[in-house]
Amino acid sequence: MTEVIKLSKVSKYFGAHIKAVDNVSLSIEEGEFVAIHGPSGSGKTTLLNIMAGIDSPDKGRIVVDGVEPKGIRDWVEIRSRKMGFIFQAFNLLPTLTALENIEIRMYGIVKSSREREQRAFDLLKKVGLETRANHRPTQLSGGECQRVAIARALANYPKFVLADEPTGNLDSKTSDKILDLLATLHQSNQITLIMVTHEKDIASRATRVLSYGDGKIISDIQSSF
Amino acid sequence: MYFLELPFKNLSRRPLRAFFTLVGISAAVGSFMGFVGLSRGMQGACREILIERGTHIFAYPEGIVDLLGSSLDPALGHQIASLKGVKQVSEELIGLMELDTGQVIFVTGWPPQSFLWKSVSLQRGRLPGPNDKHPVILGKSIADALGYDVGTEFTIRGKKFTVVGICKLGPLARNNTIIFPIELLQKLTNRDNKVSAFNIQIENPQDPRVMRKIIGQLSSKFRELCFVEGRSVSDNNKMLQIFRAMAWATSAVALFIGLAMIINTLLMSVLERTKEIGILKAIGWHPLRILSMILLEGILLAACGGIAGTLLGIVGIHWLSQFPQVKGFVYPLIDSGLIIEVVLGTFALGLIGSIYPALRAVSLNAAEAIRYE
Repeated sequence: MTEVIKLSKVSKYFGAHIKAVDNVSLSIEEGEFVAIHGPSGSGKTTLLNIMAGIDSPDKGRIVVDGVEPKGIRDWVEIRSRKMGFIFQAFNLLPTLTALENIEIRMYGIVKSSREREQRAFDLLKKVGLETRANHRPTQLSGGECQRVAIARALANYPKFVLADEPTGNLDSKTSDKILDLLATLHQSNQITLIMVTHEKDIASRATRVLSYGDGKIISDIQSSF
Repeated sequence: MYFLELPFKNLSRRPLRAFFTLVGISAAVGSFMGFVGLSRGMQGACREILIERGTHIFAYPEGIVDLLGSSLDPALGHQIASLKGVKQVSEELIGLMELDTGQVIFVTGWPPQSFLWKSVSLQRGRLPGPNDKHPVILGKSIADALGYDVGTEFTIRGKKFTVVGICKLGPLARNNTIIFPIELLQKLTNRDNKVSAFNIQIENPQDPRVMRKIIGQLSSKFRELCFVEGRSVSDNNKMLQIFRAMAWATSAVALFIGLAMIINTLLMSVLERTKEIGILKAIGWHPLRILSMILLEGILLAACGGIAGTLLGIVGIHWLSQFPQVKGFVYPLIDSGLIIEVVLGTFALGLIGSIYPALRAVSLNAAEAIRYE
């Protein structure tokens, strides 16, 4: 198996006393579905942001898909071509339709406007929202917004997807549907999925659960699935 | 969706703010066009009238700013005429005068034998003759404005004059000028035996070396006078230079306000979209793409404002120039050159105005920006 992400002794501090990530070493292999589970404020999102290059660590090394990113250019390349990101608050652009929110992810990657539109529509179909293509986020429910966000994350055929509390803003019924969708995408597309959550039940859907607390990985359990 | 559609969508999310910014830019660009167009118009009219008259060299007192108030001894004209290469010289008295109707007009006086009379193309009537008592020629605009025609008698400062001819439409000065025999105007303005300037014709005006040589000779012989080639008078005239400088200074203030509006609008927009910019970074947008998006928004704002401002300037200045108080005095010159300057200027305005907001957007920390509410 190929390593998709490797962290070596990575630390991130906020001020003198808050250790969001404390000397964490971690390796995630291709095809895994990893849940990083821990209480709110434990530093899970910071760890995820470091994996995405959105936050930079104070110490340690990160290797993504065999390459150690050196600067903005490398991280932009990774974020645009190899990685997808799903936010807790969906973070869709309010002025754009569902289709356009997916399309903008492909600027610079897919040159033809028609191809971008077709690919975005196919992805919406995949997440069951083809009839809502021309709706703006304000005209969609929370679950629908998150499905659009998932489609956006998949737009550039990523090797791995990072999901930060993807069901945090949804009711339990919708959460289940979103998790089912993520699990299906993981299985059918062989995408590595790294999900941060504070809920044990949700974490249990993953094939590997990392318990996280006070900036450290407390346990690393492979599920029986 | 094309990338170029994004700036439209971003600006249209706050339509009222975008609209008022456009109004501000339009006003700035319109003012620029108006002021600069006026200054160029006056310069052009001055050049045109001297060329039309056949004045090869124009002489006026050295160091004087207001030509209307200059006072020279006509005897100097005879001395100039005696110089080799000079064909003929005509004195001229010029000024501004208020008519009994309250209208302010240009007045000019020429000697009866002056070559300047030959340049007058009449629409109606004739040139003043030796037997006419107090004859004047009226420019077309002033004749129309006053409702006078050939044969009309009118008074200035209590003295009666008769219109003997009406000039055809032409340069500003002719349209809005009353032409007097010089002695008549000298008496009317209490400037007996004084002239404002000399119009000089030379033997070989086509040869620039001859022109330069004669101007050099005249300048060294008559140090109290300034000699300028007829077609260059408007460039050298101090009054026009001051007017031009004032027009540019006022326009610069207007454009600076336009620039400040662009910066303010885009900065507000970037601040409001802090989170969105963070999201765009997180989903893999290159900083250059974010920079381009904000720059395009600025250029789009400026371009729309520039188009509206250009139209506003053209319509506004022509409308203003029709007011009776200024009709004939303001002669806007809005040509393709000025429009191209304005187009390029507004493009630069948008680009400069959006650089700082764009750099701010690019420098945002993605993680902090996403957390921003």
